[in-house]
Amino acid sequence: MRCPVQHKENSEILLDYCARTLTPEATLEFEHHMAACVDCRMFAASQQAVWSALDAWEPAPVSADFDRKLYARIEEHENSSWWKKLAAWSFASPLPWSSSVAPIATACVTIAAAVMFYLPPERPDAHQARQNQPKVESTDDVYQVERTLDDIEMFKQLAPPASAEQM
Amino acid sequence: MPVLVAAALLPSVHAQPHKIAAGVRPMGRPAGPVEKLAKLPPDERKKKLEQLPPERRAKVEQQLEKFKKLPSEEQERLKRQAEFFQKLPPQQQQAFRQGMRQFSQLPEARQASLRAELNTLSHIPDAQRRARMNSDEFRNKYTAAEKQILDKLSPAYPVD
Repeated sequence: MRCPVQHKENSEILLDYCARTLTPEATLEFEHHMAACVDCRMFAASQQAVWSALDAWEPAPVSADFDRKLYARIEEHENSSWWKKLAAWSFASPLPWSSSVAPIATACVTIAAAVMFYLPPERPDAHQARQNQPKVESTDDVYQVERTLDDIEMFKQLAPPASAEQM
Repeated sequence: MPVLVAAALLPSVHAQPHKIAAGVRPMGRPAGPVEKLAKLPPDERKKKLEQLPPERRAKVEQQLEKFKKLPSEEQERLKRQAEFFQKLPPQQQQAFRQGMRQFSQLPEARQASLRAELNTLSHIPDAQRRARMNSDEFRNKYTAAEKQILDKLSPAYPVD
């Protein structure tokens, strides 16, 4: 028997054996080969482990009203607006350009991260200088007050005598 | 409808004080920053004024205290005058300040006389003002230097 792992044309024998669908004669013949072939033995053992796990797996019990809920959701989807259907379709089947956008986006993020990571750290004195800078808006406010008070002082001099006496 | 649109597009007299100078000059709305600063709690006001050098800070504090003691109508009038003045073109402001410096050097009696004349001049349109200032009565009443002062002050002096 030609080894199913080495020769692809016999790979079905390997899969059928693991699925326990081989005829008894074919099973005997394969087990005979497997006794002498390490590759087939290892493959069969790994497949056996998968089948054993699947045999041991018990699906979660289905709720009594599962069918009712499922049909309700199907009906809801059928009656939904076209844009909801479109959105659902978009999520279910990504657009053709999404396959090219993902790598570009990943590259951009990587470059941005690299730039941030490799940028020289800010000098402490520069940070301090920025901290000491006056707040422009607030300073402008104070200057405006100063100028207005000066102008008010100037207009006080021109106020009629009655008003001037109060100052 | 076109009338409404045209009315809406008409320039506000307060927004363009240099154009108002051609006639009688009304005052603008109250100046905000002084009022805001005057209403601040003392510690906050002090913090804000810390941005100024000590001498200027002391002067502002003193001016603000004096201002707060004025009757509210007087405060409003002065604030409106200051704001109107600040909207004038820089050349007009400069001429006014120069006129004020000359005014402050006059004797008190002459200042009072000019003050009254300025009040009269500021309430009349430009053409009338010029005619008055060129009259013999005016020349007899005021010296050339005083006329020059009034010439600088009257176009920019806002009326009540």
